[in-house]
Amino acid sequence: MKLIISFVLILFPIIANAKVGQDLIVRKLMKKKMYYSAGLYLIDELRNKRIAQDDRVLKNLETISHKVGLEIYTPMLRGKDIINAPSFYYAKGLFYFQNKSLNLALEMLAKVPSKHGLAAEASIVSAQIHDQKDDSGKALMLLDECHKLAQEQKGQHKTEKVKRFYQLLSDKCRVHKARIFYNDRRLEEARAIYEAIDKRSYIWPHLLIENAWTNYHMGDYNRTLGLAITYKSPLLVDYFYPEAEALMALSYFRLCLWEDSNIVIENFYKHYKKKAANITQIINQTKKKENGFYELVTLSKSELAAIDPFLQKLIIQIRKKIKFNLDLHYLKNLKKEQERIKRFKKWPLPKIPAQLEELRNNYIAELNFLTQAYMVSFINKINSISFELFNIKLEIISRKKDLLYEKQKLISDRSRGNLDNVNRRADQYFWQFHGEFWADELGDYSFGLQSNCEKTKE
Amino acid sequence: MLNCLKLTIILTVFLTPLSTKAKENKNVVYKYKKYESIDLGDMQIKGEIVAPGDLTVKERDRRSFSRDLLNRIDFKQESLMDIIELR
Repeated sequence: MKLIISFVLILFPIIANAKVGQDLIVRKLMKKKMYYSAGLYLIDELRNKRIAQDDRVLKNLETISHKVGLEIYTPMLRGKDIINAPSFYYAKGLFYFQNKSLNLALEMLAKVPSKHGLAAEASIVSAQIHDQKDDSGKALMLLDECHKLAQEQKGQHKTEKVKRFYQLLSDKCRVHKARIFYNDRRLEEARAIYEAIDKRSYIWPHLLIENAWTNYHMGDYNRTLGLAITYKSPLLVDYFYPEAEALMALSYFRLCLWEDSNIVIENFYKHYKKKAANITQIINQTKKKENGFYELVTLSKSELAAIDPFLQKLIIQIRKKIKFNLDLHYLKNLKKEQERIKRFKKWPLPKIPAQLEELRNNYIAELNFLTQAYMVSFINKINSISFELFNIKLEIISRKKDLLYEKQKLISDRSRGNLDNVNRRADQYFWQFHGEFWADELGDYSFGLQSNCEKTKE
Repeated sequence: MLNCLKLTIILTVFLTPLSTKAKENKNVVYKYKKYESIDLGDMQIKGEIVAPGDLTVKERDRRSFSRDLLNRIDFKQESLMDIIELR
């Protein structure tokens, strides 16, 4: 008995000090704002079960993941161990979602508390999973919840950047709802949501094409043309959607204005053919270099313009995405921390520099992959749209042949454009915009073309 | 003696045609026709004519092909990219 007591008395300070020692290390690192080192150290200790998941540890992890991002959890994601922190639940849920284990993803995402900063994101991911499972009812419910939570979080934060993030998230939740309505052919409801999104939203330029498609399926080809042509505005010069050109050609085709359709098709080939060939060449050259696309996306605007002006616009579009902004920000902070560690005469945690380097390489590899994916996807889109336009051209030739065989022609002796041909609701009316900022009109254009599909004898 | 004579006569009877046939084979000369003409007008066809004599082409409707033109069914890919681009 005396032996046992003395044994415990000898060991207790060591054990207690070890726990105190770990806690002290983390506190010191966080005080010095070396969050990456603190996070990697904590994760390593948790993985090897050298510390328990008590309240202090979990609180520190939440603070760290908020500062450095969810990449810090990467070493734990593949294993079976769970950290009882909401940010870990979200990271694990995303991991399961990306690996197509949808039920496990739903289970994990449901554990994120509704008051947590990641609750809105957990809702939108859960909604996406339910949509993939064709449960649109549940998806719509979760998207409403996402919108509500994002607005609450926006109200709770004072930093402008964070407010903008949550507003963007709130808009995305509504847009996802509109897309579910579009898929279910509830087109009026989809259009109402697209029109309700504020024009100052970051997501608004990307919605013009979706709104255009909605109007197309409702048979309002004039409004489709008006929305598609908005991309030609000088304010939206950095946003290019080859699909908008195809939709314009298609709308003219449906109105039987075949010559206009042909002009759009010819202009598309003239505008995009050479640009696509240049970008393809750049992609083929860049993929030979390790992390070549990452280096491309971090070049300055003038350097990109010197390589190719079209490439500059493409890279600007890619850099505007949230993930790129966040990852570049985390990478910058990680590099700063690595520089600080190098200045230490004797760094006490020997594993950390190698782990930091691995984390840095992960960020770079991810950004490299995403940039390559976007560029390749853009070129593939141009090629597929080119094919679709060729199809439209063949169909026009076919229709012209039909008319010849029937000894008929389309009626064309009518004036182009009339206000009577504009479909408008009670809350829409012709506005002169005199003395107002001209860009306010963006997104509200409509053509006034009459259908040319009436046939007459030759 | 008589047996020998009989044998000689039998052999003579059987072998003589073979020897004459060989000679015949050697003498055969094959000649092919250099020209052959067939007078179709002189041919007679038996039976009744049931179809009209002049050529006809059956009229059919002109086939028109309708192509599947560009159509956006959904925006699921965009929604998926939104999730990937969140963080």
